[in-house]
Amino acid sequence: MIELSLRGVFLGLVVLSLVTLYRIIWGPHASDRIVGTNVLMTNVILGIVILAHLFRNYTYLDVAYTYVLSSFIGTVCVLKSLGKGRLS
Amino acid sequence: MKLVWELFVCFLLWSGLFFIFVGTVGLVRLPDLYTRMHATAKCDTLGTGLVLLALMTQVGGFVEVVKLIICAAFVWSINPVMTHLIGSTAYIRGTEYVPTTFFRDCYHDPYPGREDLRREDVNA
Amino acid sequence: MRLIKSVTDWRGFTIISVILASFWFLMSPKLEPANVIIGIGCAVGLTFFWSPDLFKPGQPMRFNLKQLVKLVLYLAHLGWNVVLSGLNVAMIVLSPKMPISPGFVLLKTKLQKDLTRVLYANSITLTPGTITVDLNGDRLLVHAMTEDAAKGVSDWYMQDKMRDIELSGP
Repeated sequence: MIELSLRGVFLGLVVLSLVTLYRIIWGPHASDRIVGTNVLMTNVILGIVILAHLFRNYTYLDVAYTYVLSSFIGTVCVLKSLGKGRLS
Repeated sequence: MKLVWELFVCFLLWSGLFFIFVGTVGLVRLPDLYTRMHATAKCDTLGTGLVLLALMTQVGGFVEVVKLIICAAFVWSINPVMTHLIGSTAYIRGTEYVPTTFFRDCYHDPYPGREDLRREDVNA
Repeated sequence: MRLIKSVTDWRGFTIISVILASFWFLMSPKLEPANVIIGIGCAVGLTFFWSPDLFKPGQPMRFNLKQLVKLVLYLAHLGWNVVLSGLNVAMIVLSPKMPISPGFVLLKTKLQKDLTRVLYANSITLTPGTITVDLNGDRLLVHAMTEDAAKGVSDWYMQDKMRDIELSGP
């Protein structure tokens, strides 16, 4: 039952990511697109962790929290260049 | 007993998916940037925490549980900071808000409309 | 040499280095001499490299056990508030009419230290109906989803708890 629920949750995450693409593509401002990208990154992290459990290959957990940190750095870089106009 | 435990874990998983669903619906439906950030900041953080909590009961070893806890702590601390950064950048850039937005100054005049409270309580 | 001079707080330096090194040892698959040397070297070197930003002259890193216990209780309380806020947002978003009346509120905090101010701003973000948009000194700019949330955020009871944590320190 838990395996089936995990598969269902993974499928739901994929569908919700496709819905999030609406806001990323047609968002009126750059900030809306950044919020959408943030949600997409959260979904990707959950997908990685669920796949790591379904495949019984827990090396992917390292990938998950490295992905959290690198997504944070990427968003901070984009926001800094939006706010200041340069990165330094 | 085992069935109850499995039902509890499934409940955690599906409620996590429900909160992420609410976050996505809010992202698509709400009218301006700041209210969209309400939906994503709270519901995504809560949904991630619930799904990771359900997975913590399933993975086997100690190291895996610690790694999941670290992942959850990162998400729970990074998500509010990210919301704060996006909000301050958008506020500086002058992103528009819905026309019915009100502004209220509680810095110079604490508790507007609630003068029954004493001022000494405020300036502690 | 400039970096060594900028370390004004050797106790905080040790704490941050130990945290970074333990993170390295959690991620490394097995304990070999090369692993241990690289991990400890990277932890100490990184803390030296960022020390002008980490250690401000007036605010040394000091805490005691009582403060730590109170912080854990605070975080548990915060978890319950996060569940409430999720249900609140779900009720607003999934209802057909969407009863929102958004607004900005400018607040003043009683907290004195930078770390507790940042923690308090984050916990405002995670609680029902409000997010922090800007934090500058003791000014907090808060965006509220409904009018009731805007009324309640000005004297939220978690601020007194955070003030209690701050005052019970050395």
